[in-house]
This record gives sequence, structure tokens and C-alpha cells, in this order.
Amino acid sequence: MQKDEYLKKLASALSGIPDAQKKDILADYAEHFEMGVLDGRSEEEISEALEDPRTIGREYTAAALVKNAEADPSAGGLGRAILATIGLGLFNLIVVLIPLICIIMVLAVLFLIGFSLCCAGPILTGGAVLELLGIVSGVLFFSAPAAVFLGIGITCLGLLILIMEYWLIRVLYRIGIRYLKWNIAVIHGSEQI
Amino acid sequence: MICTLPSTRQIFCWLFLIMILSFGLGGIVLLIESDKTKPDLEESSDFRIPYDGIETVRMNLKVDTGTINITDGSMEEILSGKVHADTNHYLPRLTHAITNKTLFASDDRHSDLFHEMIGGEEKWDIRLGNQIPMSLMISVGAGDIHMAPGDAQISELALESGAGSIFLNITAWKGKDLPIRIENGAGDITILFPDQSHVSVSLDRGLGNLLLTGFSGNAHGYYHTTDKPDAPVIHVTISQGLGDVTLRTENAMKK
Repeated sequence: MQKDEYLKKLASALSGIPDAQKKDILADYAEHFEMGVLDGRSEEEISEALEDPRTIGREYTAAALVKNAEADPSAGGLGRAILATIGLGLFNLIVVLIPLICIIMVLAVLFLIGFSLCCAGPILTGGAVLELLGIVSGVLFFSAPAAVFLGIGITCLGLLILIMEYWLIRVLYRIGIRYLKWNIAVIHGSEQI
Repeated sequence: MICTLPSTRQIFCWLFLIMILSFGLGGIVLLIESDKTKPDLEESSDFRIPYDGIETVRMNLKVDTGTINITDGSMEEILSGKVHADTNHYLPRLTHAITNKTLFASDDRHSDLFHEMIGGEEKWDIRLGNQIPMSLMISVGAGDIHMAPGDAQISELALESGAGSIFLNITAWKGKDLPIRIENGAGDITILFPDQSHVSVSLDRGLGNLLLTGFSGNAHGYYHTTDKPDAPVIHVTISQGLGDVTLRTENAMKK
């Protein structure tokens, strides 16, 4: 493959990243070709020694999306970064997707528990207050005054679980970004990409 | 004056403090209250409706959760029995009104939003008299219906259950024509018929086994006939979602 064709394919594969970064990458690879030619190698030999431009493009795109997700944290940004990282190979489907599904399930269960407690607490307290006021009777199988306090406690516990989940999401986000960076670096074969 | 919102950490600390205090106080109150004798919330009441010139009975009984047990053996009353509720506040009553010598009986209960949401279990034990014709419409949301009315003069019968089993024994029934309608969402249905009778059963079912003894027919209808020309005629319409249906005749049971 000639230099122009190689760079054209690489430019096409880098369509998902910002123009400035794209230009830098293309300039690096053009320089690589120029240095190779000065060393007496043909453009075909240089392009054969390099990786497939589409693979390089996917790696750079994934790395750029991970950087974007790190700089501007959002669920959508992280989702795009994860999808781009998974797209790097079958290996990533296992090492990225399975932990991601496990984490989402744990977070969903925690949210469900927290939300349920947030709903159950006011219902218990409300029922106990109504029973104490004599509006209803027989709805509780234990002491109504105790149910008032226990209902408040359960509500607080639910809210605490939701707050802790919020913190956990923030921590997991940071860990997730670092994990994706490490993963891309492992696939690329170097720490820097 | 500038008001600043508390940070998440402060909110967390306050919630944690309130939670510990609430659980602590709730636990202490629970311990103190547990020493007191708990009031017995369960309650039951009897009902007796005498004949008093009544010629027919129409009873409409609707129970959300609980069991209904109907038997014969009320000698001096049209209807008698007992209703039991797990909460005295929601103890139902069997009310009745008489119009043109027809007794209209139905359930009546105090209810509120909490009772609608949480519900309460009821147990009805009803004994039927055998002197006058009766039309019965029994409905249970969740629970069993057990009915063995003996020789009570039932002229029409409708049984409905959302979830629960229905047992009906009409082997001792002595009338001429009896339409029966049974609707059940989930649960088993068992009906025992008199041997000397003409029975036709129309069945609309979802999932479950069909156990027939003394019947013939196909999915469109099942029949039992007898040589006796003036034998009672019983028409049964069954609509069931999930569960077994057992249809048996008296002699088949003995075999």
C-alpha cells in the first residue's frame, strides 16, 4: 500500500475524533513514512510494517472517546467510550462487557432496595400515625408508636443507600475510565496512545 | 442573609444520625410495648335469619380474601352461621332485606383505603335451610370456596374465585333443574354430582388437568346421563384459567 492510500484509509478510520487530533496523528504517520523512505525503504514495506489503518483508527477513536468521557463526565460519553473499546476486539467483549453488566446489575439492585425503603418508610409511618389518630385500626401487627420511629428510620436508610449509590457511581466512573484506558493501552501494546 | 444548601456529606451525616435515633427509639418502644398484653383483634359474629313467611332467597356474597364454607343443616332458619375476621374493626355482617316475600341477603363491611390496600382475611361458615328455593352468588377474590349444601333447594348457583380452589358437592341435591356457573382464575375445581341426574358441562379452560369419572364427551362439552327420565337436570358452565378440573358422579366416587 502506498503512503497516500494508507493515510487516506487512516483519515477515514479517524472520522470519530476531533480534527486537530486527527491532523496530528496523520502528520505523525506521514513523518513515519518520510523517515522510512530516507532510510531506503519503500512505501509498501513501511505500510506492511505498520498496523492496518482501520485498526489504528479504531484504537485512536476509542482513546479519544475515553478522554472525552474523562473530561466531560456523562452517562452517554461513558457509553460511547465503552462501545468503542468493545469494538476493538473479541477479547474486550469479555473483559469490558461482563464487568459492565455485573456493575449495572449491582447498581440496579441497590437502587431498587433504596427506592423500596424510601417508599416503605413513609407508608409505615403514615399507617402508624393514622392508627394512633384512630382513623384506621388493625393495619399494624406491632406497636404503632414504635412503627412511627421505625418508619422514619427505614426512610432514612433508603435515602442513605441512594446517596451511597450516587457516591459509588462516581467512584466506579473514575475506575471505569482508568480501566478503559488500561485496556486500550494493553491492546495497543504501549502505555501511550 | 445568605442561605447555603448543605453538602451531600452533611445530608448523609444528618440522615445517618436520624436513622440511628429512630431505630433506637423504635426498638426501645417496641421492647416496652411488647411487655403489654396485645389486644385480641380477631372477632367473629353469628347470624340467623328465620323463615318468617319468606318464599325465596337470593344471596350475594362477595369476599376479597378468605374462605367460604357452605353446608346444610340449618333447621329453623333460612340461613345461619358465623363470620370470622382477623381484625374486629373490619368484621363483616350478613345483612338482609325482604321484598315480596323474597329475602335478599348480602355482605356488608366497613372498609377504608388501608383495608382496600392491605386487606384482611375473613372466614364464613354458612348453613343453609332446606325449606325454600335459594339463588346463590358467591365470589371470593383470593381464597377457597367449599360448598356441600346437602338437600338445600338451590335453584341457581354462581361461584367465582380469583385465586383459590372451589369444591362443590351436590350429590344430595333434590331439585329439577339447576344452572351452575363457575369462574376461577387460578386453582382447582372439584364438583361431585348425583348419579341419578342428567348433567351437561360446558368447559372453557386454560392450563391444567381434566379428571372425569362418570362423564363422556369432548372438549366442547361433557355429559352424564341416567336411565331415570325424571332425574334432575344440571347445566354447568365452567370458565377457568389455571388448575385442575375434577368432575365426578356419586357412584363413580364409591367405585
